[in-house]
Amino acid sequence: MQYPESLDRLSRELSRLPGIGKKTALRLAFGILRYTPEEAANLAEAIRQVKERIHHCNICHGFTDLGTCSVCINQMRNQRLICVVEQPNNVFQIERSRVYQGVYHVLLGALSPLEGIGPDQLQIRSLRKRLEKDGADELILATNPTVQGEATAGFLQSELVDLVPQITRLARGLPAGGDLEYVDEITLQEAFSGRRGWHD
Amino acid sequence: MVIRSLELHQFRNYRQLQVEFGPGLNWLHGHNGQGKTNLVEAIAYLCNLESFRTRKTQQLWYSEANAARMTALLEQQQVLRRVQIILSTRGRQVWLDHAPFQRTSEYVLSFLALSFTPEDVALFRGPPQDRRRFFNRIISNLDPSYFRHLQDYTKILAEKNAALRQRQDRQLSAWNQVLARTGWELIQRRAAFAEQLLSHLVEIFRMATGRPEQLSLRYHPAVQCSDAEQLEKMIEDQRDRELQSGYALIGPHRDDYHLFLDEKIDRDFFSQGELRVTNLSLKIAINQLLFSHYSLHPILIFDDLFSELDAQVSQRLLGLFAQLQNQIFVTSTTRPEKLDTKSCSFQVVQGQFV
Repeated sequence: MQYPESLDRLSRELSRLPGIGKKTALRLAFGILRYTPEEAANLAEAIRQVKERIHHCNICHGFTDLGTCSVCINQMRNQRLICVVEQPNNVFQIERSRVYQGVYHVLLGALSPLEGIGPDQLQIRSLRKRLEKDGADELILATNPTVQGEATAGFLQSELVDLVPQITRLARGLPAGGDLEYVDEITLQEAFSGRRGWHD
Repeated sequence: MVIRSLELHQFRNYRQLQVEFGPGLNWLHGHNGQGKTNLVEAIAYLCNLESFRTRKTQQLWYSEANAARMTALLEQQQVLRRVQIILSTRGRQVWLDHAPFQRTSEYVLSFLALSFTPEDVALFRGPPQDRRRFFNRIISNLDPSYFRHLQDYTKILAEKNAALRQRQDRQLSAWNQVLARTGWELIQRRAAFAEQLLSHLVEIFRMATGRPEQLSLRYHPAVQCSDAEQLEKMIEDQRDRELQSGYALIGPHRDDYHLFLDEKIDRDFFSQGELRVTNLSLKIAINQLLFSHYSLHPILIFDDLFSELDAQVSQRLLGLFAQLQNQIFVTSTTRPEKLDTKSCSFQVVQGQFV
């Protein structure tokens, strides 16, 4: 027997989400079917609201439900220290670590000519304007350690070198609490070449 | 590494075959066209996931079939692994210890067969990408980080070529920088490999031929540079030409390797016999390098070994084989004169072992 049309449609919509395959999508769809009409309406409303309310911060382009995000507006944070990341979710990941007290700038991607992404498709012009207008003491390049992320970091370094006294790149190496056993060769090589003295 | 047993189903001229091999020299003899090469081709495929004769899977099937199956027990540092490969119209399926295995790159880094076949003389006469491909595989086995850098380099090159085609010259420098950094990692490792191989190559060639010349493998980087910064600068100098042509003109993707007998280069001056014996020396030297640095013993395959080699060289080679700790497969039209107790011989007649 075929799935009824509306159920089939729901599961196909769900399977478009990242990490959701056909089978998981069907399980989720059946889960939603067991909801009361009110529960289902709540879910639909939450989806509608998130699209309606969440947008990009007008300074850093991270996600926010205000015009300017809570980090950019917070004067307790070091507004002269800017961390550049590729995606809005990277901001939340760094925030969870609670060590960073500066602000962010989200590029909304990384350079990839193969995918038609050049400097103009990223939030680079706004970063330049930000630096020209308010200035900064340090720019931390926290793009991903992929070839696209590395190229983007190199690009930003050469484009912005005259606008900020210090540009740094996040260190690469061993994960905390990890076991050497599970570390790949390149990470190990980098950890070796980036090793530090005991008292540093 | 040792292949303990092999089962072939509808592979080339083998309808069904089940055979067990010895850990040392395995000598396959028989008339032409009986299936000796087909058998060692299956062994090479099981290790390298590619044939040394063809890229077309359909050619590997029994004439009336539309699928082939190879199953083997491989012993790797005292651990037995069951490998099964199914080739069909739906493509290739690899099973490792009864579970499907998807990561081809990881597979070929854990198993290795070095083969020496009559077609090999083309390696140093053919296009440079064949040589880069061959040595990439070998260096990856020696150094897994080489393989990762090679994957990165390929990705960066594709991005850079896309930037050149779209005339995105503003971001070109950023790509040149990462290309040069990763390229420099490749150049260093390729040069070190040729260097490490040298002493083995000289020794094996002398031992096999008794000739006084020095055999060397020379790495010819497309760019002569002493560090990543210099490489980057040299790539930058080509910017206008590259933008005009629409693809990356210089970098290690244009590298080459050549064999030399003293100062005589393979391509133009080696005789057919010299190409064969130097190629043979190269394979054995690679084997010695793998062993001396990493205690690896790839499976060695010598297909139709004694054609075009003179009797003296053949005798010396047999003496050398006795000293190697590898599992060795030799195919020949002649029966071996005498084999030591560790060796096995098989006669192949029309897709059957007798």
